[in-house]
Amino acid sequence: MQHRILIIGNGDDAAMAARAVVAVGMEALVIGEGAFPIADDRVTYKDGWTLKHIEGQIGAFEAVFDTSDGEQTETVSSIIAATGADMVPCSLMNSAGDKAVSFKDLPALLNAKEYTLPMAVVFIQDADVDDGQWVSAIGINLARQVRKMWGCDVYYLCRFIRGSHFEVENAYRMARAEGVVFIKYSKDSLAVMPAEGKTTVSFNDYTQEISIQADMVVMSDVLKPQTQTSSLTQKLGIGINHEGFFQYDNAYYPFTATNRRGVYVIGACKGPAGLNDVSGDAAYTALDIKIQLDELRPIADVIAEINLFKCSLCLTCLRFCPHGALHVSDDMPSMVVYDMACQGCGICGAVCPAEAINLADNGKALMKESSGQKRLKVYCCKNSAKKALDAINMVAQLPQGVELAEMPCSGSIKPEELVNDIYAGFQRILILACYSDACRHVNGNADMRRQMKALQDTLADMGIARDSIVVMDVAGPSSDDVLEKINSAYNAIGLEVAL
Amino acid sequence: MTALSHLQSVLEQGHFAVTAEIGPPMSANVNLIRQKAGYYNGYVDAANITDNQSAVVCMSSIATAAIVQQEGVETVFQMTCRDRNRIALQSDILGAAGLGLKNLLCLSGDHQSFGNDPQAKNVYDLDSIQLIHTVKGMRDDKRFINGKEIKTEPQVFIGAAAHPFAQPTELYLISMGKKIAAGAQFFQTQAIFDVEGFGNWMKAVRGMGYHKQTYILAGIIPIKTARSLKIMNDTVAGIRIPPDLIKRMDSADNQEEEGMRITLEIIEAVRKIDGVAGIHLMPVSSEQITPAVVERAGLYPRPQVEVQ
Amino acid sequence: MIVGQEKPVTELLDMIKPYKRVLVLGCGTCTTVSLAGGQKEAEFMSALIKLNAAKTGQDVTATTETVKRQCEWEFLDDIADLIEQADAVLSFACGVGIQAIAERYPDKVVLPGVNTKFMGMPIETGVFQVRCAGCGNCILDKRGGICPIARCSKSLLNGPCGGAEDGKCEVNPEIDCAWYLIYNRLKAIGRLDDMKQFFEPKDWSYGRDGGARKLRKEGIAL
Ligand code: SF4
Ligand code: SF4
Ligand code: SF4
Ligand code: SF4
Repeated sequence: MQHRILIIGNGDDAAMAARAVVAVGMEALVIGEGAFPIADDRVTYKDGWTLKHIEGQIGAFEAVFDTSDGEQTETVSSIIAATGADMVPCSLMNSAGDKAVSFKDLPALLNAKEYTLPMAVVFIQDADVDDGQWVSAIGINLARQVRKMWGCDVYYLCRFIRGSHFEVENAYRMARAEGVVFIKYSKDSLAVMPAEGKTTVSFNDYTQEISIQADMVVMSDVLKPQTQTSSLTQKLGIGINHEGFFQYDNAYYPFTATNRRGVYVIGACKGPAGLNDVSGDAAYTALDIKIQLDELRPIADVIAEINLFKCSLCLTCLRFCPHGALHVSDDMPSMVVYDMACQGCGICGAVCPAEAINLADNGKALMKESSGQKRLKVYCCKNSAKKALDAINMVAQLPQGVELAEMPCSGSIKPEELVNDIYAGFQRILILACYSDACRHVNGNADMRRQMKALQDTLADMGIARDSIVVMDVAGPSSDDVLEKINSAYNAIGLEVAL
Repeated sequence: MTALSHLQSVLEQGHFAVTAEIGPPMSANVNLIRQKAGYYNGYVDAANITDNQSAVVCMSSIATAAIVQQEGVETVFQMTCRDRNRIALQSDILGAAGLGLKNLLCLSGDHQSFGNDPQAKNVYDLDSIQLIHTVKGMRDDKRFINGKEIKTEPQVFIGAAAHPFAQPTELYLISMGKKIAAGAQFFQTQAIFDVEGFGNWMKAVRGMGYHKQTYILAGIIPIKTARSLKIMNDTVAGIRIPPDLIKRMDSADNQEEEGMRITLEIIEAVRKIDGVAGIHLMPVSSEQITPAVVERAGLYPRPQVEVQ
Repeated sequence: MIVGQEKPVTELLDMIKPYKRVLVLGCGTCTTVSLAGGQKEAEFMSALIKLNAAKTGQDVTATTETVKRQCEWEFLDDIADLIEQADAVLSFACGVGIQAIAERYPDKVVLPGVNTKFMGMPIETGVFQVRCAGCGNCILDKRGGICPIARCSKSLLNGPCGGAEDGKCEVNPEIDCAWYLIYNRLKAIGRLDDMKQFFEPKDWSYGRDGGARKLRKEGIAL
């Protein structure tokens, strides 16, 4: 079957994505504003279309667009957002006078027919490691061009050159060979001052104060999220990070995949890090999409099932599902699950006020039963604590009174389950969750913590100690950590000291 | 229309009016009322008697007003919509008229959550604009809200509150216009500390022509200490005190005197603003300082007018 | 929807103290949607009742059930057995549902599990706000679609009091001043003249003040 991928954006990143999509034999539907550089019969470009909303799931998203001919609906198998970012001048630009240009504006100057040849050009890469190597990639190539075309002295001031990426490293070597002078400067020492037709750039290179008289200063830009980013996150049901770029600050989403299966983000719209290797990301993404689509299967063994007689359409699950896997049915008064999108986290089941959502066994199989005087029940998140325990096969050696249950995500815990555990005689319940910025289901940890706080308050009102319920975060692979936490929780039972 | 209250006569004859507030006692202590009235005798054209201000239970404003008038000081009795429905309000208006009270300030009233009885149920059968309309109807049309005729109508000079600093200005000017249309004859404003802001508001008021249709009395809280100023700034809704003023009070050697000076400066400044017909002092349980303020502001003695 | 809030657990435990067999009954409509009294809350309460009984050495059983709507007898008839077996029904419906049980089962003790708060809607996940006070004679046409009776702390019908600051009500900075909202909205829809009119004292007799209300749907009512 022919897969068609919607690509949002018409800049370089989108072009890269479109080429990669075509390269693995799929079609691309690209929307944007203005021209698009690719002419290929497998690529359809719709100028002026904007996304209104999407429904559906991987394999068959219904995307609705606003167009000059009114609303249009298209079915696409997957979606890639490659909307780019805005490049704005860095803060140094304010003080630098009119002899300063930004990386962004330099190409136009290089292409201009008439200019006075400068004697010395100083590049300033005002960026830290976290800003990504894209700055270096752009800056070094510009420096090489200046050196080649104008033959003048070229100084390249920076705080780091990210050498991890092959292309950048290569360009760096070539530039040095071609005579670009690289100087590392310490961050707060830099001053740029216009003076009598020249610009004085002074700085400390960690050994001494240096001052260069430049005819031209070229300064790196800063990436800022586009204004449409926040509305697109709503429409696509995907996350946004603290800087406003696409995708959550979450260890599970470092690449191009998002919290919504079948929706990807590529390039500058992900922030500086997205620019490190756009072509590689595009190729990887296209391949990933193709593999998933060719043999489309549910992602989780156990997915949510909704009892349509019980559902009261309160929309709570819809608001909580981190993966865009729920929607209001078109033909029944009930919420329904997108089977390919659901990741089985169980968060919906924990919040549904009607108990209308079932995951087989609520996803919580017992890993070990307990007996004995002192009893501790441990809920282990499948994505961290359970993995760690499985890895060392230590479950049997835990003390008698420890009972272990697995859960798909700590967000799946229902307060009444824990009350029943306490009723059944467990003195303490330990919830081992993943760190909140490494929660596979994005908000599961945070959702659970809120619920647990409320539960602890209620129990405290009834005279039951708050530390009957203990929540701890563990890192996935760290078995020792997990064992220690279980043992310490177990040993603390009966002690006066609260954990 | 015949000028029946002293305050109305003062205003209609073009004098710059002075009113000041008296807080009724939180007890049945009549002597206290008489004492406070004593401070005011000859210094104000009328004394406002608050109606369970800040939703704190005090002696009723009508009873207090009647006692104050026995001491020879005319009153403006205040009435809020918080505690009485239309039956009680109209009945009290008749009763007040029977006791010889001639000026009425119609207010919506502070919410009960501010007072000592936040558990109380509020009424708000009418709002302040409807109350104004009701009083006017009772007086001019000789009708109750229900349309039934009143044989002997109450004679009342009707007042309302204005909020120079509340935002957005347009919204509150619409309200003020509605109050005038409903029958408000005079306004007493919220306390003014920011004279420039008040001047801008008066400009907007003049733009609407309201100053020609009604008398505007500028609200003044005599300043006592830097501390009281700060407390007011932080806790009283709708009061904004310019930081410079607080600074000035902070650095003063004699705070009491400096406070008095600032108060006099504010009075002096608002007097000059076109459309301001008088001042309304709110000494916040320091009624004894009112005579000094009036005197030092050059507003003493008060005009003797012929009341028809 | 009718928005409710579960009563504090200690209050409920105290309330059921005299009874041995308690039926905790959720309501599948409003209180489910307002996250106060659906099956989830009912099960949670049952679990707490059992736990408390175990802790205090009492012999109490709690069963849980939820019906679609407690405010109609037909739905209550379906669970007649369960209700018969219980000493007391702890209802997680709004006040209407609770009373419906009391009427349908005149000899049964019915207890409220929920404080019925208001008619409102969710304004964000888990946060509800009042919208209508059931005055019986709607005036939204002249107030820009924003109800001053329910949303102004003083139910002022003609305009704001002087207490608002930065568009927030004097009673609580978390409450928007209804008149600020009305003004902005009327302005936005070009109907600011609506609020310049004088609104006569309202006839409150259509609401609670007219006495206990009853309504006949003509054409349907027999
Ligand atoms: S189990 Fe998780 S992913 Fe699946 S529908 Fe529920 S919340 Fe969404
Ligand atoms: S949370 Fe439960 S009741 Fe609410 S919409 Fe989802 S399935 Fe239905
Ligand atoms: S009983 Fe109350 S909560 Fe339940 S459906 Fe009826 S009105 Fe709604
Ligand atoms: S005007 Fe009356 S019916 Fe209309 S929303 Fe307000 S309270 Fe409800």
